[in-house]
Amino acid sequence: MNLNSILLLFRNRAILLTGIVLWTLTSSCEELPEPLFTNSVIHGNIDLYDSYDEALENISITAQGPYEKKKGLTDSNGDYQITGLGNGTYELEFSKEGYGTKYQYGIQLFGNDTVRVRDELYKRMTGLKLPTLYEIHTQDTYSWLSEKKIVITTSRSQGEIPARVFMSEDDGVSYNNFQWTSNARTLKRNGFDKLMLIVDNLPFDSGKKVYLRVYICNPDEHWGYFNKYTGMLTFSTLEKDEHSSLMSFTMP
Amino acid sequence: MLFLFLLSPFIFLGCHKEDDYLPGLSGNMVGYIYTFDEFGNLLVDHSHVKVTAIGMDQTYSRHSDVTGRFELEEVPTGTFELHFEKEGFGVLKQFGVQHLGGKPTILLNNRSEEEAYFLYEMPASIIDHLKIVNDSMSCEFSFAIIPNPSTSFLLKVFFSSSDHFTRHNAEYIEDVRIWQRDGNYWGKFYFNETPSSPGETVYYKACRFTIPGVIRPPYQNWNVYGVDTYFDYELNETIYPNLGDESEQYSFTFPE
Repeated sequence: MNLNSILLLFRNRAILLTGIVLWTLTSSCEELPEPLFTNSVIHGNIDLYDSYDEALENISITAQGPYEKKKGLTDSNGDYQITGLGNGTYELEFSKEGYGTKYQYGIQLFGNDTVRVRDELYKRMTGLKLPTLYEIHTQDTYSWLSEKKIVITTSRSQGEIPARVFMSEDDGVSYNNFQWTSNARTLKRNGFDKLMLIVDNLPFDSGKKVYLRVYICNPDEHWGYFNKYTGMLTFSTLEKDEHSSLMSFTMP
Repeated sequence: MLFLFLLSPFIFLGCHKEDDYLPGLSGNMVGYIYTFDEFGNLLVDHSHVKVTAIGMDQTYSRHSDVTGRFELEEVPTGTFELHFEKEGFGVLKQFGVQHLGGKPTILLNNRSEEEAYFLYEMPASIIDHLKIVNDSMSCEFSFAIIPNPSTSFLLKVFFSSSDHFTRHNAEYIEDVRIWQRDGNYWGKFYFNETPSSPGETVYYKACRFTIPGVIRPPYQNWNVYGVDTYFDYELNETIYPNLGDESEQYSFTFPE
């Protein structure tokens, strides 16, 4: 090793060391200030929809604010309380195994605020598989249908199919890119040995090509909830990976 | 190398914040704005509305996307004035918007009904031959865009006993919904209060404006209520941002 190599090695290490020192110094700037108040409270009640026989305890609530993440659990009545929260804006996450997780946003706490937040969770349809969906029929092929209805033929013979349909005039339709959504009712009609999915009150104009995807989702969650952060109508029990392929039809 | 070593104390000193505002947090502000044409019809594209949050020292701006959603980023804690602007539209303002920082502030989150801001196109029309006969108001319009015959719209009518009045010092204000009937424009008109004594001359003028208040977005099953006016504390009056040009002044004799 000649003198130049030794100098080069020394210089590289020095640059590295300087970098580490600078990073340490600058990263200390990112520390959050101390909260002005740490005695705010978020409390409320969480219900489990259509689960009268199920205890409401141990529903998990996570409050994520500027300083930390704090967790709480409901008691047997579904009541919860998270105390000792610092000032700032919080997001809440409500979850329980087997139920859809829901979120609430923009909860503002300052001083000795006590804010009440309630919500309701719906059971997930975990493990259910969507049957194969064959064809979409409109009034053009099934004359007994009204013009605002479609049926989708399926591979299943019995039982209810907890399906939610997302529709759009855009072929990129999905649960987070849609113009219209509805539960699909399961239909068994005389003369047909397989179940069908029926969707009605379609809002699209006559002659429009409409694309759709069908997902597994708890039909009790009729209206979903408006996610105030994303601006999207959201379904907490939607199984994002359990959906049909892209299908389309033309409004009669 | 020497340069880096010399620079490091300044970087360290840079950590000291001169403006230690309490409580010293920052965060995003998220909200929704829907745009309407001059007749109050919901538009499809709500993009390019410039949203500005004006604070003590700085302003923060972003444009809405096609859905009307906007997100102002890294806004420090404080109380802000919001301005919503788009060319050809009235300017909507909001005062005293509190932003605590941390996770995003959702604008209008705490309102009981209103979930979004509404912005209306400025009316482009001239109001002619405004006439009040008994309980009816009739008028003529020169429209830039002829409205659909089924479209109704609103006139804000300003009254005064003085023949030199402006809409800011009008003694009496009444909103009248105008319909098209047999090619004429006409609206039912009631005085909720008696603005003048019988036999006296009453002067009046009118402006077009829009106020849907509530909408049902296409393909949706729920109503959205909106904030579309604001109170100006200096003028001490409610501002309708898309109030159009004033008509000429007219007069009538209050009936015996």
